[in-house]
Amino acid sequence: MGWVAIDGLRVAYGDTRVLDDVSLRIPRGSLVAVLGPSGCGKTTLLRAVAGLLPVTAGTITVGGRLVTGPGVQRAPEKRGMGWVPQDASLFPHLTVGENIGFGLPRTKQSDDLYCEPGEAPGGVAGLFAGFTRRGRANRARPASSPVRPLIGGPGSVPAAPGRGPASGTPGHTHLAPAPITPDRSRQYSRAARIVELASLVGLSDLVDRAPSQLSGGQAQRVSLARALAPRPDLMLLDEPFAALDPLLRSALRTEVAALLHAQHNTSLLVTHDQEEALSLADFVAVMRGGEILQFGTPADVYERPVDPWVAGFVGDTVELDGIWRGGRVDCALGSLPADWMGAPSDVGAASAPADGPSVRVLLRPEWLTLAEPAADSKTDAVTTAIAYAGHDALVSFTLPGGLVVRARVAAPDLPRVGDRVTLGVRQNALAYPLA
Amino acid sequence: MTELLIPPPETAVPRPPARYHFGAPPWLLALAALCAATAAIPLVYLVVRTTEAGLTDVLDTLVRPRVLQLTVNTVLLAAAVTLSCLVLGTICAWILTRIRLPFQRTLLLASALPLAVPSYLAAYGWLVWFPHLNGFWASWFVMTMVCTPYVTLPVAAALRGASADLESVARTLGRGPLRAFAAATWPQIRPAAIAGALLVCLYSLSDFGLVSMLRFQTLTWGINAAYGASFDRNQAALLALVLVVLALVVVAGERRSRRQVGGIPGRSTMPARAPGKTGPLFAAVLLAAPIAGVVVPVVGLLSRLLEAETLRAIDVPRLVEAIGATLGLALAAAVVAVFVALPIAALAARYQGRLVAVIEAVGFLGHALPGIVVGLSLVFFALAAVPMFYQTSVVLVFAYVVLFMPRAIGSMRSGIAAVPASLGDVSRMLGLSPFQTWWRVTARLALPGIAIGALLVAISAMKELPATLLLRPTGVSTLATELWSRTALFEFGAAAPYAAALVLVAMVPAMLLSGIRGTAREN
Amino acid sequence: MRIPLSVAALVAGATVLALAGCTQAAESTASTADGAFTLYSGRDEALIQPLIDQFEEQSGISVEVRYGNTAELGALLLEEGDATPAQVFLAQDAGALGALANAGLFATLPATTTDAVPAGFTSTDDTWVGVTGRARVITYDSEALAATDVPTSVDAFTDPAWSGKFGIAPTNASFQAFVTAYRVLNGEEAADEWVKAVAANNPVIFDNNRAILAAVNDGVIEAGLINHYYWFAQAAETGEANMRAQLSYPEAGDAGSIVNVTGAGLLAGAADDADALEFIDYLVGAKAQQYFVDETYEYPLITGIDAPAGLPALDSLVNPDLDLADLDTLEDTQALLGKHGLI
Repeated sequence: MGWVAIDGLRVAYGDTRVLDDVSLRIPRGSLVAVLGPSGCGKTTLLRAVAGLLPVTAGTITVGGRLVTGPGVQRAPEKRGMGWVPQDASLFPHLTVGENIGFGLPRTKQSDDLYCEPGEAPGGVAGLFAGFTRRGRANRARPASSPVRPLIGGPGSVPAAPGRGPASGTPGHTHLAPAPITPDRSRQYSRAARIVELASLVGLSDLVDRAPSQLSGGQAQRVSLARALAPRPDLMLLDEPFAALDPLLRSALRTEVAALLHAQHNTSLLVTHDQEEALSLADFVAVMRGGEILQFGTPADVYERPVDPWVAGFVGDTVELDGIWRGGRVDCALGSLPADWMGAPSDVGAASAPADGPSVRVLLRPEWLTLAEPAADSKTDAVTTAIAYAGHDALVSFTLPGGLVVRARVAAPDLPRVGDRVTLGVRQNALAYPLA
Repeated sequence: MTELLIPPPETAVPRPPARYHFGAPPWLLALAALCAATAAIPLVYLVVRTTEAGLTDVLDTLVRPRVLQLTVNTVLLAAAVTLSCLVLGTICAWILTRIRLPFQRTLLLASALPLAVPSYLAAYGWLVWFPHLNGFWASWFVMTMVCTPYVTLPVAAALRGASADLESVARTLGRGPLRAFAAATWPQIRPAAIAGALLVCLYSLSDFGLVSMLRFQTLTWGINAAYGASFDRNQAALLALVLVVLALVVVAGERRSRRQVGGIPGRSTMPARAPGKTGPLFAAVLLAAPIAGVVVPVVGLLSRLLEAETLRAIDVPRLVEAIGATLGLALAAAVVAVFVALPIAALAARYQGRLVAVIEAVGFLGHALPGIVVGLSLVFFALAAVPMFYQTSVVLVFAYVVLFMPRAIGSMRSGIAAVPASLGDVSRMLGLSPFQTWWRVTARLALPGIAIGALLVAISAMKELPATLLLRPTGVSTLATELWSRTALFEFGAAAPYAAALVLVAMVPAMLLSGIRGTAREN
Repeated sequence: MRIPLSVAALVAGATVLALAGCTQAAESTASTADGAFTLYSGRDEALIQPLIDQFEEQSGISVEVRYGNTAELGALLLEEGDATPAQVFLAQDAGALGALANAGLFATLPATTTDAVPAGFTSTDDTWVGVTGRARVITYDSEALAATDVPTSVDAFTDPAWSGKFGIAPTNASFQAFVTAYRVLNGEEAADEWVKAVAANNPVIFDNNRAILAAVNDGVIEAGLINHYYWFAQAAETGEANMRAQLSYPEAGDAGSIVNVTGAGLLAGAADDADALEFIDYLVGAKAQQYFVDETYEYPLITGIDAPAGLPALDSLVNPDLDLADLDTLEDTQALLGKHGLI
């Protein structure tokens, strides 16, 4: 039973179907990544869930509440979902703090509190002095606003007002995945929530900045904090890391995933980056042409892809033609132990046929093993090229038939170009019947 | 000032890459359609009125030699002015971008200046010096000088953005400089040149003050004469319709001939070369329009203004009253135009589709409607439909809105389109309703564009003459009508204070405008 | 991005001004009685406004004036019908007044008002009253023509010798009244001939008489058809000796020599408007008549006021064959001018 249930979702632009009968379950507190190439409909799926575009058919429920269904099309602002777009999309006319507080209700009290996080721990008020420049803070001060301790905030990062946009990059600060107990009492002021979230994403010293003064990574953190502020039932992340440079990307996504988990957020992430999907998500849904091809844990999707296309999309493959021989396949690498991958609904060898059919044999480059060549082996291969990557390398071998396969080899075991080796496998190959 | 007086050519409006794929909300479509429909009222009423006259009467009037003569005069003048502006403007733009002359920025500013002078003011200034000026060649000359910047500015901008690599390649392939320019660069600046030429053509088709002062009988003159000289208004209505048809033909022709040229990557700047001995010649060509269109009239104006007799005779309360009326009407027109143009601009900025295109095109109708036509048809319309508003500021402001709404739509559309649609999504997802989102995010960020639209309308309304003459409330005079009534009686001295006040008052929004553009650019 | 305040202020200010403008305009059309009325004046503002200022000062009644061409305002009154905001129409021409009277737009004036003006210079049925008289004249360039070379009849302008050398203002009410007179005096056929021939003879077209005079005075054209007083006004300004343009009175009996009148009518809806009536009485009173003599060089129409110096006696110009009431077929004249492309 999923916290979020999408059933038979269909979206069409005119005659073109963009989403075709998509169903998906998202367990509570988990992060599900929708992975697919561009144009597969994954962003459409996200926008449909968000209510940003009308659906043709299907239902979406969140926590048992129907948000999209026959005759029901709840407005986006009434769905209680958080949205983190690809380009951060910070409101350029608001400060970082105002951005974070944008979705928080403006009660009379909170509007006044909004400027002043409180004067409690001496130095903090000073850090936020710029926050009060509209002069509203002096009119009303919270008598007793509970200011949460600032985690990873000014305490750990020295406030440096003169520093440029580079300050506070992920290299300098870290996200503190400390769990936060929701405090929904009226006393809990808007300002305090802003401060809390700013410190949560490690930007408490930047609340007064204009978005234009932030780096890409910082902007994306603010975007995340802004979406988290109203405590959404479901977080929707639309390729949030795609616009960042690769180094920043991997650092930030780890932090974000940790943070989302720590907050017990249910999240739906859309990405075309398989590494991102596999490393972050609890479950991955692989999409293509408006359909979900496979849904499972990252390991499932990587180790047991439902078809060669999924296999190729989520990672490097070695593909060979072969013949199924009851639990083994005959192919250019010889006779290998293999699993029958015929029926997606029932992956395993159980329903495998006995003998004979031609199959597509699939391996991951790291499943290949290298051994000293036997004297008369017909399957000996010659090392022809090495793509060196430091920790390991992709090594190309030419098989006797002229076929080239690539294996991922740990650095210490690297052969040299021209070396002859015998190739073996670590685990069962995957055998897909030819369509 | 260089870019502020020229409505951006439609070709130059960048369509945002990320638009909604789905249809616009019905309420927005309905609202925009309603607003666009108001722009069509004058035209529709004019057609209705003309058909009421009966087909035989219409044909009878149409075949009169008078109608033919006026039409031929109008077409000749518009064609001649358009052609000369196109040639002179393109040459000026080429000099501005390719020749390294001293005081480059000042020269650019100077070549934009004629736009600040209403055509009838320029004509007035020339008549001060040469009272005998009249007829086709005088009208052609003064109009060309006033209108050249409409071509110079967009073409100069296009030239600056055009890839010079192509031209270099063409040179290396053996073409001479002129042929290389024609083969490589002209296709790139063609849309800008044609858009500018369209503005010139519509301007000279619909101009009333200049041809009237220089006594060249075009359709606008004929409409005004027929309206003023006869109890039978059908002739005026019919001539107005002929003028509208001409204008629409021009707009349609421009749309057909406009071919979008994909951006060609490459070094955008051709190294400007030193002028050498030809420098003075280039400077002379460049300064022809500013001198003939601005310096001559303004000096004439000042010479009349500073005559002791004129200074003594200035009726200050009356002048102040005219300034007040001008400002009040212009500001009212600006505010109303913004509200009417807003739904259309919002729709056009965010959605596409045939219906959206139609609504936007109808909103742009005022672009092709001469002021005198709108004035005339609103006299009819107000009397027939809303007599209580007849001869009140309401109808006059409405006329300004119809006439100048396209300018507001243009700048507001690009202002709104520049606000990423994703900001609206984020705001909705954070719990704000569409209207809250519009108010707190989109409108807030598009404010510079909206303000520019309002100011463009205000400037245009201040200078408007023919519709104001027909529709102004009894007892209300604007600077333009005061100037007009005095020059019509050849009282150049008495007209001078009003002309000077008009120039000064029109500079206020112009300066505000450059201020906003400056601020917007800084951000 | 720090402009919003100023822009907001601008917008707010504009809205207030717009509202103010609307209400002001609404008021002016609404208040038809009680110390105020609206006048449509087919006569030039420069000539009439000082007189109206005098009237306002003397009577305490405020006058809203819409200035325009006589024919334009006449057409406007026809178009407006009962909805007109005007109470009084001051026209440049007896023909326009007659045409509007025929359309039933005017109230009958009290005899005390119309009796001030002798018959022949006012309406026959008291629907309007004549205010001033003006003679049609030919103005000529004295450097190009000797006085004896000036035509004595407008028929001369159909001669190809005059092609492109003479000016007319066909949209002007006085010109149209003259053409009506031509029709009345010489018959429709002859009038049609004349208009057609003149239109084909390259006349230089002007918007008004003053422009014609200026063109003659500058030597742009050799002759033009105008009303007499424009010349006197110009001569008073620049000095008679400096006038290059001179006047010639066509021979008596020629349509080109008619004496037309300006006049005022009370619109039907304002029959009981005492303010409006007071103004019309003022126009035919001694003070206003003297004003016209002194300032506009027109013939006064009431007895006891002398015509401006230098003008021929009114009696010597009046054509006994022409009744001003016959000039009311203005629409036919306009159709004739339109037919031959002059308007």
